[in-house]
Amino acid sequence: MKKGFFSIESLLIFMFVTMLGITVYSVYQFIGTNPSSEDIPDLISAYQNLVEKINADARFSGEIAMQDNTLTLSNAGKGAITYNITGGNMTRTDSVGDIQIIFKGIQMGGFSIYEKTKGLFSLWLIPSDTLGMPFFTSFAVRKGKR
Amino acid sequence: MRLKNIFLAGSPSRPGATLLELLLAACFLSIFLVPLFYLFKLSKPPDRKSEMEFMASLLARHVIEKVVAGKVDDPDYLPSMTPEEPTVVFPEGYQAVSQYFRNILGKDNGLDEETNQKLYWALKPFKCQVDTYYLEDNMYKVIVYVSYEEDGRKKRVFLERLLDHPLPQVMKEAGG
Repeated sequence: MKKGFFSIESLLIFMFVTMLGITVYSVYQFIGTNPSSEDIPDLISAYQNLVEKINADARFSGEIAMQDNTLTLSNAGKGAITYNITGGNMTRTDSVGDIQIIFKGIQMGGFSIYEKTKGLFSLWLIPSDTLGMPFFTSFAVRKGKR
Repeated sequence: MRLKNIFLAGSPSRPGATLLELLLAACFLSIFLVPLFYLFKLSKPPDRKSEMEFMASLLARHVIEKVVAGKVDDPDYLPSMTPEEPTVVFPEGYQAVSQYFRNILGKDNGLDEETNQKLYWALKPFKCQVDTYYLEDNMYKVIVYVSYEEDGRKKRVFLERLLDHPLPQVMKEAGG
């Protein structure tokens, strides 16, 4: 009978240790890379939050007013919300005067309104991180409609 | 007989495994690796949304919001269908800027490099196309495609929006 190089016990132990090692490593990987918003680059995540916040305000607004780097969304029932880009930050001031910084690290930015399309405004931002992507999108005031 | 020998491997009369046993062990090992492969796959982080994809979705959003605002201003407004067009001015000027991007940042003919250099270069890789359809039940469908090239492949993001709008009389008659 032909004899082998290793005993079967050694093989089984080797298999067991290998499997155990791979399993532990996989579990570590799974916990360490648990899919979450942290996996999304910070800038994109910040932009997404910004879009959600402004979109929520624009949905219930009816009027837009712009002056330099300040944009005001008015709603007859709930008062006005003001966005301001100054000092590298974008702030949101609600109808009771609470000021909240909604985006940080802006090199340049501004709002834009349209003569022909009254209920639309655009926001553009250039981040202070020179490698970061700029931001440009628009929002329609919906007067509470979808 | 051979199998029996394998399971009796612990006996002192059996000094080592043969090549067949080695292959059998490797076979088992590879079978056990299948669920581990899925575990590895599961533990892999999800594909990150690229900056290009995100910017394309922002631009598609700009067009949809413009359409919505136009509809709120004028209930009879309907967006028009357009072919794939640039989102900013090309110096060569052989292709017109998409009508949905023509008056951004106060520029009537589209954003140029002099107005905002960084934004211009960020928007330049993208092209916009708008398709529209009349649907039943007095609906009008708008699909906005924003295309770009990434890793040598053409990709596109699309957003769609349904608008309330009665079917024109001519089409009603043709359909009836």
